[in-house]
This record gives sequence, C-alpha cells and structure tokens, in this order.
Amino acid sequence: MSLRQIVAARTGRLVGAASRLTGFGAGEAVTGKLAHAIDPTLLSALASRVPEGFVVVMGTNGKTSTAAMLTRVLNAQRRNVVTNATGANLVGGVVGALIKHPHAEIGILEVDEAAARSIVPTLEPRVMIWTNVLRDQLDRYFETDIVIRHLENAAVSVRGSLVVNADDPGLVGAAERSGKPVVYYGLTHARDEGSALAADSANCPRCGAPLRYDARYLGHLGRYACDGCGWKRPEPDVAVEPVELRGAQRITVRVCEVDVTLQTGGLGAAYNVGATVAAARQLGIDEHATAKALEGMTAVFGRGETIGNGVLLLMKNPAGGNEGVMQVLEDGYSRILVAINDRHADGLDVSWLWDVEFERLKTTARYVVVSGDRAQDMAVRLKYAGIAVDVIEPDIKRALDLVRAEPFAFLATYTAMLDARASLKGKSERLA
Amino acid sequence: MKIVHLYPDLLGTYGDRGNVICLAERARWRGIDVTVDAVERGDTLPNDADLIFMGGGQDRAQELIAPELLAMAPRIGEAAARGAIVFAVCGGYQLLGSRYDEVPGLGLLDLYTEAGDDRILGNASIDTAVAGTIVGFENHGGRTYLGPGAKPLGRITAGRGNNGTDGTEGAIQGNIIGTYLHGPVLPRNPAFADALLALAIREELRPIDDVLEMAAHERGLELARKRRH
Repeated sequence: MSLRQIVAARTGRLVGAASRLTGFGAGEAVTGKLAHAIDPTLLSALASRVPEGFVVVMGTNGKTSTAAMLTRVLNAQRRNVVTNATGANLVGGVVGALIKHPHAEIGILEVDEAAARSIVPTLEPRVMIWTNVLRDQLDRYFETDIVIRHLENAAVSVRGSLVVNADDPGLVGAAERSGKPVVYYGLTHARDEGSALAADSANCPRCGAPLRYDARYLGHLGRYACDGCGWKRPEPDVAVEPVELRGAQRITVRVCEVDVTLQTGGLGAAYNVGATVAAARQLGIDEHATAKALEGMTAVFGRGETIGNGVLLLMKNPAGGNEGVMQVLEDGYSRILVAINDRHADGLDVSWLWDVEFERLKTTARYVVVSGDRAQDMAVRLKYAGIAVDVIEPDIKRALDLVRAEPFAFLATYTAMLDARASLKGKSERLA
Repeated sequence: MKIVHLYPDLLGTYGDRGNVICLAERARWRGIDVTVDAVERGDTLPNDADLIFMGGGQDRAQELIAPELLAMAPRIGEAAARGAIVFAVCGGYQLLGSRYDEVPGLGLLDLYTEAGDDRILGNASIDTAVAGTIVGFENHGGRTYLGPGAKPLGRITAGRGNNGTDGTEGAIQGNIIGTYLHGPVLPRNPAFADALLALAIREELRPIDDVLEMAAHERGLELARKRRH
C-alpha cells in the first residue's frame, strides 16, 4: 500500500473509533467514508489483499440476511470472512469493513443498487447474488426497471456466476441478457393467498405480454409463464421447499433433500436459504455442510427478532410490509404497534403504505397503536382498512410503553426500528 | 355509483390505489352503494362509470399500455362529456395531455409535458378553488405546461408544481382533473375526495368524521412548509 493509502486507512480508523465511543454509530461506515475521501484508490488496494475474492449480494430485500447466512456457512468452514454485517452497503461501509478485517481470506459484501458502480467493478466478484427487485423508496431509486438496469451494469464485472432468484421475472430477464453463467434458486410453492399488490415486473421481459401466474407468492414473485412468446420461469438449480412457512419466528425448508430450521420466519428467509445454498455451492461447499451451518440460525436486525414481549418486523417497502402482515396474522397477535418514519433511510414519501394489505389484520387486531414521524398517515391508512386505532403516539419510546406489558407485534420502518431497538435493549447495547 | 380504476397493475406505482379505496369508503360511509371495476389489459371501458381513476406507472409499464389507452381515449372523453369525473395522478395526468416530448398522449387535457433536467421531489401544498388547501408529495421528472383550454388545479404554496416555474399545479378541464400529488392525495385531503365524489354523483354529501384525515393533512402541511426548495 502507498503511504497515502496507509494514512487514509489510519485516519479513518481513528475517527471511526471516536464515532463508536461517542455512541453515534457503528464506526465502520464512518471509518470507510473518511478513508475513501482521503484516497479513492484505497478500495482497490484493500480488495487486492483479499486472496479468495468476493461474493456480492444485491437486490431490494434480503441482502443483509443472505450475507449473514453465507458468512455463517464460511465461518463454519473456518474461513476468515470480511463482511459489512451492519448493512452499511455504500462505498464507505465496504471500505470500512475491509480496513477492519485486514487478514480476511474472502469477502461477503452486500452492495446498494445505486452505489454499485463505484464499488463492484473494483471487486470483480466471483459470485454475485440477486435476491429480488421490488418496489422500494421511490424518492431514491425511482423505478424497479432502473434498479434492474443497475444490476445488469454491475453484472458486467462478475468473473464467475450470477446466483439469481428464478421466481422474479424481472431478474431472470436481466440475467439472460447479461450473458453470464447463471445458477437459479427458487421456491417449489408458498402460501396460497400471498399478496399480488405492488407487482412491477409481472410482464414478459421478452415480449411485454402480461405473465400468467400458476402461483403468486408475493408481488410479482411466483411461478409464471408468458402465453405471448412461450418464455417461462427457468427450473431452479436449487429448489427450496417450504415445509413449514408460518409466522415470524420459525421456518423449516427442504433443500436438495436436506431440512433446515431457522429461528426466523417468512418467505424471505426461505429465499435467503436458497440463495445461500446456491452461492455456497459455487464456493465448493455442498448443501449438507451449508444446511448444518444454517440450522438454528436466529433473526438479524428486526427480521422476526424477539426482544422482551415484542416480535420485531422490519417493513421497508410494500413487499416487506405484506410479508410482515402475513406473519403477524399467522402468529395471531392482537396487540400491534406500527411505527412509520419518513427520514432519508426510510423514504420521504409514505404513499407505499397503501400498497400494503393491512386489511388482512382486521380479524386479529384488538389493540392498535401507531407511532413515528408519520403516525397520522398510518392512522388514516388503518382507518380505511377497517381497523380501529386505539392510540396515536408519535414518540416511539412512549408507544412501546403502551404495548410492551404483553406479547405484541411491532411493524416499523428502518429508522423507527433503530429507535425502538435502542429503547427496548437499553443504551448499553448501543455502545457494545 | 361506479368507480372505474384504469390498469391498477400497470398504473399504480405510488400507492395510487389508496385514492380509489378512499373514494369508495367515503361513499359507503354515507350509505351510497359503490362498485369498483378494475380495467386490465384487453378489457373495454364500462359505459356507466361515474368516476374514472388513473394512476401513474413506470416508464416501461406506460409504454406497454399506451396503445390501448390511446384507443380508449375517445370513450373516456365521451364519459366525461356525459358527466363522469376523470381523475388522474402523476403519470396518468401526463398521459391525459397532448404529448410527453414526442410521444403522443390522449389529448383530453390541453397541456403537454417535456422531460426536465432534474426531478421535482418533496412534500408540497397548493391552494385550490375546488377544495381549499391540498397537500401531497411530488415526484416527477417531467415539466408540464398548460394550454388555454386547461386551468390549473391550484397555485403552489410550497413545492415546485407542474414545471417549477409558473407556480401552477395540476389541471382542470371540464370534468377532467389531474395532479402530480401523491400521498396518496385523497385520503389526506378529505375535502378534495368529497369534492370529486359530489361532482361524480351530482349530490351534496353529508359531513363525516375527518379527525384522523385532518391530522395527516396538517402533518403534510407542516412537512411542505419545512421543505427547503
């Protein structure tokens, strides 16, 4: 490394440590952002020191969880892994993680779709995972078609294979256009009554005709075919069979004849197992070893995580919201707290709340509190869903105090989840 | 009454269905019998609509649906002439104009749209004759300019509006109304929702409890005032 690169890394690390000590943040992203500003060639120098290269995870939902699963599988193989586990997926987060883990053998990095072009070409990933592209933060990403284009551009610098969700027709179209070798994963079935709202890629990527769905899992994810030109869902190389898909806290899936049970729930978890098995295979790890490593894995940040009496369900976009609603319904929670913020990381526009089928909670909701910067808009959404709101309490800490004495479900946007976790776990956790 | 929702799958990127839910529920709460018909690709426009709603879609979705919509334009125009209300948001609003750059629109509103240099983005508020203050969220790259046949829906009090220069937002021409405002716009502006309903059924509506809606409206106004540009 050049002197400038070393200075950049050291200065960044100092400031990152200060950020951690003062309790402002996880430190890594701060470290990386500053170091990258001092020397933009640092990413390339750091990346070249990771001998076995990189797996990059991209897509709307499931990036953090999939990266966590694959990291767990590699750790079980006693490999030294660098990963941006806090979900810091812009260039600063990636550089910060690489500075922090100078002896890593391999990297598992999630990368933000819009930030990919400043990161992925340097990493030249050996495997790139595409989880899904769903409607999300329209003030920032604008359209799913634009995000799909970001993924296609990122695929150009992949040296090995793409690992792609076969149930997302938009992704399959992009994977076919990329000309790269593709390994597909997908579900054999899912819930019969999944929400078809917010389906943005439900038209044939080849001829534009509406796709015919034999099964609709969530949004435009499902088993589809085009009656116009005969194009259809590719048969997955890794087929995931949900044996038990119910609620927020447990799921059992069968992959290549092997059962895996996780202490987290939902359709997303089933997909993430598929992506992990397929990617691990590309790294020479068979499904038995992968399944063994994943068995019993618990939820990451707000994805069916349990704290006290609360089950925490992160709801960043319509697909995540609709999946969260199904899990709350299946678990039968009667106390429900929904917290909606509209800060930069949440998306400034809360229109998407109307693409979430809160109507489904009518049968189970008995005590409902809404909170966050946009508590009022959430109250209106529930009113039109036929659900009575008991309390509007914009302050999240006070809202939690209203529900926490008994089991409750907590649906929240990203920054509202951060606030709630800090409050539920106490300040000591944040500093740890 | 009958509400017709045009292409909810293709033109509904921004929770636009909330406007239809809002109209239907507010009519039902007053004892009005409501049916909502979704028109999907290949369907024909029902000829007994009281209100026709069209949201906005992604560029590709709008390209896919454009030929059918253009063919349907005369029937939508006839419905409006017969007294039906046509209400469109964002992409749907642009489509009702004569063109977007060189791409022809339905020609039902006297306006055209051109691609802009940046995106008009953020919370906004407008003053209108039909429903007083309306709040919403604008998010569009196009710049829309009204011709003499169309009047603005309102004047911008916070935000950038149709084109960022002339202070106008949305358009009204006879029974056809368009706006860029999301939110969705109707649930947080109950007076606007009721104005559209009253026009559609040509009856006065009795007041209903709007405490929650007005709290969201006030919050929207607060956010619009805080916007920097």
